[in-house]
Amino acid sequence: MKRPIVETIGMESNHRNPCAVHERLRGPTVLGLENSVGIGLRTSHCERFLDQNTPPPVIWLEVLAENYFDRGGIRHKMLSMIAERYPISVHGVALSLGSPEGLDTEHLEHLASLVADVGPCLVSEHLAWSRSGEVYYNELLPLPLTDETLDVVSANIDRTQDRLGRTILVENPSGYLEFEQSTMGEATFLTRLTERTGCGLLLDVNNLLISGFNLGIDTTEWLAAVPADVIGEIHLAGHEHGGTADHPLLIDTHGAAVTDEVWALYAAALNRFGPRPTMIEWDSDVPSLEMLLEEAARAQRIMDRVLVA
Amino acid sequence: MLLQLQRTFAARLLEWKEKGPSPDRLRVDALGFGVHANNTRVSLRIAVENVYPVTRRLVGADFFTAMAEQFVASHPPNHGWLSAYGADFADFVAQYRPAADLGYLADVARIEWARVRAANAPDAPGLDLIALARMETEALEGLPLSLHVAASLVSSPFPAFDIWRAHQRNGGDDEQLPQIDLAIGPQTILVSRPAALEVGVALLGSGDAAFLSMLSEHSPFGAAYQAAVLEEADYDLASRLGDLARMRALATFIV
Repeated sequence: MKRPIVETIGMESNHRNPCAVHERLRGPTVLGLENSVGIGLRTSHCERFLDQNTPPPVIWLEVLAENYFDRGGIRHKMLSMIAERYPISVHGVALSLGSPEGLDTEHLEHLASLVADVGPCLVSEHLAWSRSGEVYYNELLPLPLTDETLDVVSANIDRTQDRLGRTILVENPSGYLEFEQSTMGEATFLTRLTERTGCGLLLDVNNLLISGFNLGIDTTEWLAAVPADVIGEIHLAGHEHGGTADHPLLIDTHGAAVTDEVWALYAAALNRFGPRPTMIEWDSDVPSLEMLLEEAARAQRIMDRVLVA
Repeated sequence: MLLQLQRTFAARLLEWKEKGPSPDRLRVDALGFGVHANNTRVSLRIAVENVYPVTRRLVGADFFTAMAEQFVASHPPNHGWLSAYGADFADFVAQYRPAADLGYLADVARIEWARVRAANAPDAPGLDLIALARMETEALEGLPLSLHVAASLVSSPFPAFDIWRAHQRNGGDDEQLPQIDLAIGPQTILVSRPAALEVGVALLGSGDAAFLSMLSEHSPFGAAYQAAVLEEADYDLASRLGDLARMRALATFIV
């Protein structure tokens, strides 16, 4: 059931060219998950996945990395047991790839231990920062898209991939504000990031839709601009309406069903990129497992239609 | 440039007020900044809430939200993983003036934190009773036994265990909260991980409380036993040790 992918770094690695350090992102076909939909593993559902007799029918599971940084204890034990039965994707939310102060070594070591322990099929993080000085803000904070930021994020991704010995996927953010300083668009920035570091991208369709609405990013252009072979995974989630009457905003909550607009953009993304491992992300006001599985089944039907077409 | 921009951005995140402006010099949309500030404050407050459901039930949602958000603003986390976040919340509650007449509240919070500690602590072997039984009496006297890494003691001048246990269920706002007689007096509570996937909370008898309190302060076995007998004249060490070992209260020892 479990198919850990281990990529190794050659001893003769040329560290001056980050592209040469890591194997190019492995195509999703290597993972054997390209046509399948997973869901996020939530604490309240853990016992269902340990049920020997009626294990829930889902191909793979994604976990929030930082929830499992304690290497002993109940959560870690449960994850180890579940990882024996399901392929696991490790999704980090707090590494702060956008920190010019560099990565927190202790954080990276915890991530590396988790990756070593569960042998995940995918490892992903975010284009964001969440730490400044000694304080961690528990929020994916926005970055100005500049050459300086590209240098900072590239260096942090290089260090992460060097430590983990594998490529990671980087997720597009949900945007609520723009910086005057930005000198390039998001699709260009992310594409250059993949060229610089060999990392892949995790396309969060809900985030793209939100940034399209809030910041005026043209989602069709975005999909056309990013090379298909760097997309390693897709996230689907719901959102809420916020802001004011004069200035409405879509807000990413991870606490609602996938909306019709997200389903439509998902179909467009699959038509453009081909089938990709897809995950239903719903981690606040967590619904019943059945409801998550229904959302996953709906995504699977859309993916199957693209496969047939 | 990026470093300074993030410092300016971060400096206002935890003190931003609803509909406040974005930080000077940042020149970003205030509404968008507000979304990030709000997410930061609320997500950290929820992280605290998730650890302290009984404390929250005792004071109500609004009171708890105000208290937890003050805690978040004055004690933001230092790590990107939050399993250790909220460890000092009970001390904060003890000093929180609006809760000054709820003396037991901080001790209930200590029980809740001890449960998180127990759940997340590294795996480690418990006390080996057979090895203990093989020891010479003289060596046993001076043996430095210690609490298991997953185990904590909460000593309260209030019936904190009864209060904690009586408020396990969330029956909604209409539910009549159980009345606990504070005159029941002090209680000492052991929180531990008796099995791989289980956290236990137990009210200790006075002998066990004295015994474990002494050991947790690094007194040797003999002195801890004497303290237990002073509290409970008929303290049956052999049977008590069996129970405490089953609860994984004590760590294995190295001779």
